Amino acid sequence: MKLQQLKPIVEALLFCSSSPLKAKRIKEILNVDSATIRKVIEELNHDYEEEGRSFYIRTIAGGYQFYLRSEFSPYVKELQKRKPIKLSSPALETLAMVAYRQPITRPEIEDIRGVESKGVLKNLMEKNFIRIVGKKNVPGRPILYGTTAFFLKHFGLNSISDLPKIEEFAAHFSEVKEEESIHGHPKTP
Amino acid sequence: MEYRVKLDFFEGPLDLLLHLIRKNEFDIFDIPIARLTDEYFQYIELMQELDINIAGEFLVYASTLMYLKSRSLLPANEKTEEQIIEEEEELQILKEKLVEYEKFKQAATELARRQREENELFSKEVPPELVKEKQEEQSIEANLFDLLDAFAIILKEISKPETIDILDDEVTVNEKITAILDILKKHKKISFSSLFYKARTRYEMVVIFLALLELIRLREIMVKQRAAFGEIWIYMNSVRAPL
Repeated sequence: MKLQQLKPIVEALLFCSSSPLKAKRIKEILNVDSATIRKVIEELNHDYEEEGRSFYIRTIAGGYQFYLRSEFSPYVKELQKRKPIKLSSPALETLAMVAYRQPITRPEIEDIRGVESKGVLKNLMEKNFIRIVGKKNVPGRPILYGTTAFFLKHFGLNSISDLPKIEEFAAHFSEVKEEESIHGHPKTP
Repeated sequence: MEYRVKLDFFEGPLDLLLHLIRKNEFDIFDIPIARLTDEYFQYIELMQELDINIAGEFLVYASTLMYLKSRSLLPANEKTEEQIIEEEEELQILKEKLVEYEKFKQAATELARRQREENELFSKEVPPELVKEKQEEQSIEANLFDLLDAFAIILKEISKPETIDILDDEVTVNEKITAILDILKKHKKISFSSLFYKARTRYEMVVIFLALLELIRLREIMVKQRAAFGEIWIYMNSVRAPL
């Protein structure tokens, strides 16, 4: 199929998807290769920009999804009045441990945090940020946790490798002197 | 300054130690252990005074710090080589823990930043009802942990008497196994919670739950969940593994 024919079809698939649509699914449906899909998405995004549309196709959580350009957010915010999900600092710390060290067990998390973490893990499970990925082959067969596709989407990541390397944070240690809070205003890069 | 320490249930001794290191501008790689210990104990005492329920973990670190402080006060010539090595090792472990934890605290700050940014963006969404249906298809196999949680919720929500006097016959696990299998022969699937509606007593609910666990152990049934903490569905196991 020609690129011009594929464009509206891919657009149709994305239009009817409510979560990031994996390239694999598009490939199965249209019998085209990854490079073609990327080209189609690129061209669609180019068209939308040319036409001054309010949306674009974003590569996120291992798939593609329509997103609104940020300058239109204020209007839609008014329409939807949604409540953004906000996680507490202990929840974000625990989530960071799962994200960087997955698959990881509760005892391993508790060892890093130095504090019981059952409640916070349960909360992260309930909110669909983490999931059980298996059991560790050690005595007691503790549950192994990993992050979900929802986690990637929530934090605007395409894959887990988009996170900065954990070592980058370690390097800052001696320089960070003042009290920095998660609820504060950390510098944006 | 004390009020700044949030004694959230989930914030622990390492948070306190990092807080103290920051506040006093201590060098993490050369911590004045005696001062750190004194400050740590001031907070512990304050928490006790305020009648805050101190987590046991705080006391574990308190004893480690106390040990390190007592050793650091001893003149070097009075210590054996073995003691010095042991002391250094203990201190090293504490430092490594703090550095390791600090990395994740910073990673959490990065996640918080991303979360703030993403909360300002809108993606194409569908009404919640449709999302719910979709999630059901991507069901995951529920484990014992999920089942126990679901059962705890049901026990809490459906209050039944412990026992009733006029019970003419005691329910047994075997009876309940047969009952569950009978329902599954008629219906393709049943929800976990519906199993307990007709139970007359708390005891009977427990028996039903045990029967369910037994059926899972025997691989007669499968338990699946749409998403973490969603309703659990029970299916007949069609691909039964040979024993």
